[in-house]
Amino acid sequence: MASKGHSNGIHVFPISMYGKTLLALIILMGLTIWASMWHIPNMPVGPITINGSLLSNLLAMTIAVIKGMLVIQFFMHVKFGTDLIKLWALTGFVWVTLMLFILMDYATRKYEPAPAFEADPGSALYREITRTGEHPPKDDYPVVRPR
Amino acid sequence: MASAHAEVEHLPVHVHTQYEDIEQQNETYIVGMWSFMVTEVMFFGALFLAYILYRWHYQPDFYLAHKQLSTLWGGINTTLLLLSSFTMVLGVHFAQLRKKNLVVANLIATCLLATGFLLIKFTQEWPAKFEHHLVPGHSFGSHPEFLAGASPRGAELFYSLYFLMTGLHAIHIIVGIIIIAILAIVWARDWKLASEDYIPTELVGLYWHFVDLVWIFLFPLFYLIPQ
Repeated sequence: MASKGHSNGIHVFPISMYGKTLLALIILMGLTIWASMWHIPNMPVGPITINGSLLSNLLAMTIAVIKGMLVIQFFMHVKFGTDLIKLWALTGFVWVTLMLFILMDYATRKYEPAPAFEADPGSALYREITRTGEHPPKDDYPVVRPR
Repeated sequence: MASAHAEVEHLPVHVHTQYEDIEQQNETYIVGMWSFMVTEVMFFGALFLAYILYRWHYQPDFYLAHKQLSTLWGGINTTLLLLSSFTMVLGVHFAQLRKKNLVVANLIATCLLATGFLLIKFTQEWPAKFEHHLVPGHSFGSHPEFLAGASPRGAELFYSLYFLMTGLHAIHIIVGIIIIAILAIVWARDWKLASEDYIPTELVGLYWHFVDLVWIFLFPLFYLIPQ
């Protein structure tokens, strides 16, 4: 980014760039509030049903990620930083993404137990199969289980 | 942009002996700050994981419980934080140009906007939760009309996460106000620590933008839960 030699390491950016970033952030905030006012119903498309609530969540999080990228790239100057700075800025978010893979465990617990597996009554999450060999998994199992 | 570059080209910079040149020195400082922020991302990341897990399993209760939060005050607070990020980045901009008075003015504006954020949170948002017995504890939900039909268990998880995550964020805001106020004093008194190099201001700015970044995610997750 810098020319070698006489640089004194100061890279000034125009105020208009920060102003445009702020404007985009405010508009996106308005957009996400506006979008949250609409209830998206579940939409059956052929054999599958598109979950409206999931769509709303995806929309809200997409806007949040765009806003976050604007802050990181322009306010935090990562876009204009060296490769090492970019790598460092990415590290934490990559770590969080890897950690979220833990959710795969919770998502697949309803397929437990394997035959002859006893559900642990003290576990934090319900298991939809409580007796061996019960298929398919029940969907009407109460979310809140008595301890 | 070119004129601004010409303006700063003559400014002297001090390169410490362990660094090759000013570019390496600046990069080292910024990477150091990002290392700290990686730990912050991990810190908040664990809380976001907890949030996702319980939101997933108590979505209907989270939806009903979140109606007690005011989107209006949340939106105003988001705007205040975004504006404070803007004044902070202006502070960095003028620190690069070494325009002392403008730096101090922008840092003070950042502090005032952040204080406004906290005032709204502590006068308009949290007291109502205490009055309505929505703070997790032994009397939680003793006024069921404020649960809006949510199961007490799910609602209590929602408010636990709400107070934990926005509370931790508020602590970061308080720390930020203190740091920015100190920086403003350092600039106002023309101490060489900050006034001869824009990097201290830039690093405080990075911290402040990170706090803003966390709120950008907290706002939709707590105030805008879809049905």
